[in-house]
Amino acid sequence: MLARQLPMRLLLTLLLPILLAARTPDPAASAVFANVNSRYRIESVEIQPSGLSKLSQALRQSIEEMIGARFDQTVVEEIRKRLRQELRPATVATRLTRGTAPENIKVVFDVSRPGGSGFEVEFPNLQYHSKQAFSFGMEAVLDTTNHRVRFGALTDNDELLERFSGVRGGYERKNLAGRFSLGFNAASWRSQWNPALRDAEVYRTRTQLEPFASVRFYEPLTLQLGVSFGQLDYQNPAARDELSSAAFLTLRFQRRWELASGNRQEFEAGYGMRIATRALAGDFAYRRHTWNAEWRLASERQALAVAFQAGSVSRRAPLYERFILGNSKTLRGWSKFDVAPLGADRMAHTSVDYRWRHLRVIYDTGAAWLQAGDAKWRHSVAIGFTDGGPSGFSALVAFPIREGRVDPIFIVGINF
Amino acid sequence: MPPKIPMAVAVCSGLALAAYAITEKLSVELHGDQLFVSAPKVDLIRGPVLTRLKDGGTVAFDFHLALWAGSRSSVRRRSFERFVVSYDLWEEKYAVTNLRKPAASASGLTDNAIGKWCLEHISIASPNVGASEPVWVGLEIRTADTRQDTELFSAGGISLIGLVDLLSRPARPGEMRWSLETGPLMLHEVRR
Repeated sequence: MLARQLPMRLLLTLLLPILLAARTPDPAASAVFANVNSRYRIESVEIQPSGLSKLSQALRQSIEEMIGARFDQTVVEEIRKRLRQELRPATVATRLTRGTAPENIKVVFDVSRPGGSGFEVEFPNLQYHSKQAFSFGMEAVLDTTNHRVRFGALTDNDELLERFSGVRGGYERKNLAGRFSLGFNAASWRSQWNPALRDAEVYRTRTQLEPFASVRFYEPLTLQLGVSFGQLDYQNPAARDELSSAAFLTLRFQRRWELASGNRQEFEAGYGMRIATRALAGDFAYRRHTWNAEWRLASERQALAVAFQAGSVSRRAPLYERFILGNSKTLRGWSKFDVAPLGADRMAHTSVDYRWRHLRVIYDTGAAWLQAGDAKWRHSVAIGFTDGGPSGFSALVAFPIREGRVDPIFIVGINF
Repeated sequence: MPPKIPMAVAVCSGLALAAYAITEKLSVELHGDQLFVSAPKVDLIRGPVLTRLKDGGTVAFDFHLALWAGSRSSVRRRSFERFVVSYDLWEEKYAVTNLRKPAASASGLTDNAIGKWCLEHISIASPNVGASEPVWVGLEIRTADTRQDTELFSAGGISLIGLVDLLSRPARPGEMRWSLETGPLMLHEVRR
């Protein structure tokens, strides 16, 4: 009996894959293949207007996995549903546009808040640095499809030579003729200085107004042009107030790729120029150039980032235009007052940032010097914990690489 | 004080605009035992449909072809088909696929060719009617949600209950409809 059944079982076993293959196609799949764009590869995915920062790590991962794959409407629909769940009560619509390369497309998820706007409170920086104490900023942002308004307060002892505290705000009219935007930024700061800088041209308050216009040439390349009008109120009663006005230009390039191995690659580069002339009714005349580039490679558990930045300032510029190294993003084992106590007019810096799960190791090297002097290269390493999530939290201990006594620096916070 | 428009009137007006229907003349031809229809122009790709397609989405059109014989009281023959249209972002041409079997598809079409292609892929079996019995042929087209009713297309054929349920469903907000018809005419006079 068993012998008789065996050939039949064998036949069914052999035929099963054929029978399964010949089954009626899934109707949902039929609808998917009905989209002629299924033959194109996804070059990039955008969440407008909020970006990826507000999403869970799992959803960001799923979105990043779409890049490089062929367009699949069921996958895109699934992502749209998950976005709607995470961004509730917002509604999410999907649209496709041509990519920058032939036969590539871009998937855009348009997020619309009830009432047509998105109001959010953001924390651009929040950190403790053992040499610089706390830096903290909070910003309220109202973002709609065509308008963006922001207002916030900040106290920062990390970015510049001084601790600057105050309020800032801005308005931007986006999507003019599809690729232009116009706007302005305004800020009012009160500055506090290291006592060692008493004799320098230190100002007590700084007020700035920056009208700007930007144009997106093609998707990854953006140009911003504008004028910055500033007023400096000096601490020394004998010094008169000065106007610091400069025209500025910023060119930014950003591109992402998905490699065949499944790893994700990103490249960002930028060039900035500020030209201050007396023609702009300012008391300063200088030129400031900055260059930066960053390449990132990420897999499921590891990430590597290599960043480079350089800059130069010619002639007399206000202190806030000078370069510093030795903060939460550069030469992390050094204090900015040890590297260039009065700031520098030349700077070059490179860092290699490696992450493996929750471990983060960084090597920094750079120099900040005056044109008349020599560049002295410094090195540092930092090691610590990172949560690897959207909050960007890290806790690091950094050491300068030098002979003699070594004082570690502790840095805890987000977005550095 | 400006006059207030009642909300119900505004909503009804909006729905009426959304369900904007065009009645046009239909031509009938007999190929073998199958009755095909044609129209000078079926302008499907316009308004929100055009916007959705240019955004890379798909738009489904439900075609319901019906034939009445003797009187307009009851349908003698009917046929149903769902066509899914998409727009090729790089070639800037349209593609269309029918979801029921036998499946057929075409690409590289212009917007005007979409309606014509769809009409070439829906037909009804010619009925047995008397020589003096008049017939009417009507075509209803409506935009559909591609995610809805997919189970109807999984079976070999669509059930009458399923079809009635689908066709009697109230218009969705933003749904577009087209209506074309011809008759009365004598079947023996129909061009072959």
